[in-house]
Amino acid sequence: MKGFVNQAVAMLLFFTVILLVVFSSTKGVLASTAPYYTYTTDNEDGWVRTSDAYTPEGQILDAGGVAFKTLEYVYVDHEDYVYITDSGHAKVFIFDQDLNFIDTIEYFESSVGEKDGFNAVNSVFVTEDKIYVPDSFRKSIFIFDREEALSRAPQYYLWLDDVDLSDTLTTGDLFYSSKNVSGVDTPTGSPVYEIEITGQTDSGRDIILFKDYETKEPLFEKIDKNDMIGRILSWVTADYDNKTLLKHTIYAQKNVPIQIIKTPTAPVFQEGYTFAPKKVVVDTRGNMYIVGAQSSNGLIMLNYEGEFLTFFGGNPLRTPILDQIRSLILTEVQKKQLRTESQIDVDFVSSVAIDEKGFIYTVTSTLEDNVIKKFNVSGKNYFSQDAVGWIGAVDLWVGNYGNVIVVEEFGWINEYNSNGQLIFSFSVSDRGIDREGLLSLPKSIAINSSDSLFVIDQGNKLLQVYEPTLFTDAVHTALQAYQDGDEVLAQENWSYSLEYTTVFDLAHIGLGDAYVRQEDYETALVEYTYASYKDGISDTYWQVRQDWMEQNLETVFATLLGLIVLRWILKFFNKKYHYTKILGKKFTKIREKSQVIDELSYIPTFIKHPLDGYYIIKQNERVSVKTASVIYLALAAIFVMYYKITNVIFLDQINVNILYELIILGSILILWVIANYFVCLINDGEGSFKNVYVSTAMSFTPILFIAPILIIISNVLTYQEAVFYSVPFTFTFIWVAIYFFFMIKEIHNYEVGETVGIIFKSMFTMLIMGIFIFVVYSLNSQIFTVSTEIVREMFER
Amino acid sequence: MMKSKGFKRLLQSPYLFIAPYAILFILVIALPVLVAMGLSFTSFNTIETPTFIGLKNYVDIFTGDTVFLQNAVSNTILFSVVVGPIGYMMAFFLAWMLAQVPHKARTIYAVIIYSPSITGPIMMAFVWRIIFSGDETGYINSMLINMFSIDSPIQFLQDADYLFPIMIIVSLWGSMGLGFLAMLAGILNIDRSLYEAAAIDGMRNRWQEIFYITIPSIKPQMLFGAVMSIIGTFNAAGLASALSGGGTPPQYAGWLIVDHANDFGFTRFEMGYASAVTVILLVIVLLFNKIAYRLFGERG
Repeated sequence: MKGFVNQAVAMLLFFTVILLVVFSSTKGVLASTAPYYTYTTDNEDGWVRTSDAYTPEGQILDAGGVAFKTLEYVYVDHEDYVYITDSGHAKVFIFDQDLNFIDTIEYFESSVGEKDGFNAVNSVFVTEDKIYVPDSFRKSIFIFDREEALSRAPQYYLWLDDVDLSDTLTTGDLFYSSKNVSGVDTPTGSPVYEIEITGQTDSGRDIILFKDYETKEPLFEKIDKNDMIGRILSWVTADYDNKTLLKHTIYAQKNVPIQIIKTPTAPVFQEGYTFAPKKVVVDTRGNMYIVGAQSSNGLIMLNYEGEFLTFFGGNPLRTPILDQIRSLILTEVQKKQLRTESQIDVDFVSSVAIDEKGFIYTVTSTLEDNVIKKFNVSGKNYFSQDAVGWIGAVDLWVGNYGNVIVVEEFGWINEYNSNGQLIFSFSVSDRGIDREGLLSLPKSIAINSSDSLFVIDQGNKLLQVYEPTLFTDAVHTALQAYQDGDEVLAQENWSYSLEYTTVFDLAHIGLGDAYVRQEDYETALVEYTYASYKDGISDTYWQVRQDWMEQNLETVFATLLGLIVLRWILKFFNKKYHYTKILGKKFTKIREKSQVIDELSYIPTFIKHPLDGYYIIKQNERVSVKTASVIYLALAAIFVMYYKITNVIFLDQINVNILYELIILGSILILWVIANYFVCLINDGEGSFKNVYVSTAMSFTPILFIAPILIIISNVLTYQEAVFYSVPFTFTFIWVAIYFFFMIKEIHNYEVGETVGIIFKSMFTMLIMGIFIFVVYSLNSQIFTVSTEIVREMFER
Repeated sequence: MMKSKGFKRLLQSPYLFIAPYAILFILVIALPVLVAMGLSFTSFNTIETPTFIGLKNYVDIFTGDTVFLQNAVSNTILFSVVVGPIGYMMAFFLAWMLAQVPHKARTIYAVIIYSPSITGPIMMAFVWRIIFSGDETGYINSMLINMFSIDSPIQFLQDADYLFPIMIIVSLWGSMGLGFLAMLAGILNIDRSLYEAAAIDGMRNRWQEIFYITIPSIKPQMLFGAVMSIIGTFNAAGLASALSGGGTPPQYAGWLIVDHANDFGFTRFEMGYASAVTVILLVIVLLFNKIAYRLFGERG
C-alpha cells in the first residue's frame, strides 16, 4: 500500500515536471498562427517580434450573392453594422453584426435632365441617425436616414394575374402572394390584392392603388410599374389554378437622400476650388470635415446645412528651398509668376477619422514623417511628432481605447496608442502568395466594438476580418483601465501581456504608470528601467530619492558635519605629525622607481600651467610616449565607463557597440596625429611626431579628472538637476578645446592666425586620408587579386 | 596718570584705528547676514515674535519644496553660469572696443550701452516684450510669419521652453553694468607709452596687445567686473515673471532662487523660510567663489 502511494506521488511529480518543461519551453517561443509576424518597438533591440496581435478570421467575398467589384471603403457604426462601399456597383452594402448581408443603399435618381445618383461612392460615414455618402464624381455628399436605410422592407414577389391579358397593369388585375418552396417561388393561396389605376402623375406615370381583394379596402399606392411597383421578371410564369401568372417584383421603398450637399456657395469654390468629397467625418454638431480630391488647403469644413466654414488641418506646402529664398527678394508680380511655375508638392490628406471626444485625425499617404495628425477644434496637432510611420498610409480608424490603427497600401497595419506610440505593426502584404489573411491592396480599415479589424482588399475584392488575440485584448484592457484610473486592472493586464512576450516596452511602462498611481515608486522605477523610459525613470527616481532624503536627512547632515570635523582633526594632527610630508616622501620614492607614475603626477601641474607645460614637453621631453599611451588607455576606459555607468537618462543612445565606437575614435585620433604632424612639417611647424602624440594626450587630461566624477554623480541626478551634469561637461569640453588650440600653437610655435589655419588644414587632410582609406578598403578585394596575379605572373615567367 | 596712559594706549590701539570701517561693516553687512542666518532657524511672519524651530526650514526645503529643488536651484546655476561669464567677456570686449573710438562718440556709445543695466527688470521686460510678443504684432513673430511662413505665431513668453533662453538674452543685453564702466575707465587709464614700447619690442598684433598689456594693466578693474557679474547674476530676480506678464512664470521657467525667496518673504510672509532660502543661496555663492579661486586664484 505504502509503495503504491509512493509510486503515485512519484508519477505525479514526474508529470508535473514534464508539464513544467512543456510550459516553460512554449513560453519562450512566440507561437504564431497568422501568416505574418507582428512587431513592436523596443528600446534595446529596436524592432522586435512579438506575439500575434490579430489573426485572420474569415472573409466576405460577396453581398447576398453579388460579388464585389471595386471595393473602396469600410465603416462600422456604433451598433456594429458594417458598411462597405463599392464603386464598381456604385452601391453601399450593409451587413449586420454577424456579417449577414442586409441591404444595399443605392440611388439612381434622374431628375430634371441631370444625372445625380451614386457614381464613385468613395466612402461612407454613419452617425447615430444619418448615413453620409460622399461621391467625388458627383461632387456631392448624399445623406440618408439611417433608420430608414437599415429597416427598409426588402423586395418581395407577387404573382400577377393579368385578367384582361393586356400585358400591362390595368384596373382589375389581381395579385397572388408568393411562397418559396425549395428555392423556387410559387404562387400560393387566393388573390390578395386587386389594383386600380387612380390617375397619373405629372410626369405621366400611372398611380396604382392596391386594394384588399376581399374587402376592396384601399391599402397603399405605388407609382409607375417600372420604377416603383417593380417589373415583370423575365416573363417568368407559373401555372396556378389554371391561370398563367406572371412573376412580379414589388420593390420596397427606394432610398431617397434626405439631404444632398452640393458644392458650397462660398466664393472660393465659385472661383474654381475643387469640391470633390472623397471622405467625410461629422462631429456632434453636424459639422462635416471633408477630404476632397485636389483640396490643397486640407479638410473642407462645412456646417450641417452645407455652408462652407473653413479649411482645416492641411499639410504645410513643401516649397523648394530655392523658391523660399527667391521669394524673399522678389516683387509681388514675380512671386505670382513663380507660384504658377514652381513645382510645389502638395500633400493631400488621404483619410480622416473622428473620435468620441471630437479630435479629428488625418492621415497622409505622401508624407514620411508626421503621417498621422490629431487635431483639436482649433487645429492644433496633438499626435506625437516622433510617431513611427512611413509613406503609403491610406486610411485610419480610431479604436475603442483611443488607439489609432493605420493601414498602408503596401500591407503594413500599425496600431498606436493615443499618444502616438507604436503598439503593434504587422504586414499583411501577400507578396504573390495566396493565403487567407494576406492582402494584395489594402485600402481601408475599420474596427468594431469587439475590436475585430475589417480591412478592404481592393486587389482581391474582399473584406478581410481579423480577430484580436488574448494578448491584444489584455493590452487594450490595460490601456482602457489605466485611462479609467483602475490601476489594479491595468497592472493585471500588463502582467498578463508580458507572459506572451517579455520584451514589450509598453507593458513595462504601463506597469510603471500603474505603480506610480499606487505610489510604489521603487517598483515603478524598476519597470521604467526595463523599458528605458527616461522621463519615467527621472520622475520616479526623483521620488525615490526624495523619500530616502526624508528618512535620512539627519544622517546626511550628520555625515557632512562629521566629514568637516574629520578634515579639521586631520589638519590639526597633520600640523603635529606631518603626515603629508611623510606621504610625500614615500610618493617621491615611488616616482623615482617608475617613470610612468612620475610623469602622470606631472598632470596636475600641467593643467594649471598649460603654456609652460607644452614648452616643457617640447623642450625637456617631460612626458614619454609610454605615459601618453597610458593616458589614451585611461581615456578609453572613461569612454567605456561613460556608456556603462552613466545614468541612462543622460545617454543619447543606450545600446552602442562600444568597441566599434572606440575603434572609430581611435582611428580619428591616429588620423589627427598623423595629419597634424605632416601638415605642420610642411608649414614650418617645430613639433616632432612624438611631441604631437604626447601633447595631444596631455590636452585631454582635464577629462581624466572631471568625467569620472560626473559619470558617478549622474547616477543620483534626475532631469531636474541635469544642469549639474551638463554644465560641467560642457565646460570641460570648452576647456579641452582651448588647450587643444594652445597645444598646436605652442608645440609648433605658431601665431594665433596660423594656428587657426593649421587646424583647418589638418582637418581637411584627415578628411582626405579618411576618404583614401575608405576607397582602398572598398577596392580591397580587387587590389588583392591584382597583386596575387602579378606575383603569380612573376613566378611563372 | 594711569588713566591718561590707558587713554593714550586706547588711542594708539589698532582696534580704534579700524573701528569706523568695522562698525560700518558690521552694521551694514555682517549684521544683516547674521540676522538672516538666525531667522532661518525660526518661524517668523513679520508680526509675531519669531519662534525657534531648529532645522525645520532646511528640512522642508530639502524634502518638500519641489519648486525650489527642481526649478530654482537648476535655473539659478544655469543662469549664472551662462550669463556671468558671457556677460563678463562681452563687457570686456565692448569696453576695449569703445576705448578705440574717439572721445565724443565714445561717451554717447557708453551711455547707450550702459543704459539697459540701470533700467531694471521691469523696464527691460517691457522693451523685449514688444519684440517677443506672442501674436503676429511681435517683431520676431512677424518676421517669422512673413519670411519663413510659419503657420501660427510662437508663444515665446508663455512657453516654458522659450522663456528661459529669452531671459538669458535679455540679461546679456542688460549686463553691461558697473563692471563695464570700470573696465572702460581702466583701459582708458593705461599709459600709452606701454603700447609704444611694446611695438618697439616686436609686438605683432592686437591680440598680443590685449593679452600682454591691456589685461594685466586693468586687473583690479577686471576683478571688480568679475565680482559684480557673479553677484549680479546670482542676485537677479523678477525678469522671468516680468517677461511673462507678471505673477509666476509658466511652469516656473526662469524661476530663480531670489524669486523664490521673494515669493516666500514678501508674498507669503514666511520670513524664516525665506531667510533659509537666502542662506542656501549664500552657501552656493561661497561655493562658486571657492571654485573660482581654485581655478584662477593662484595666478593672480
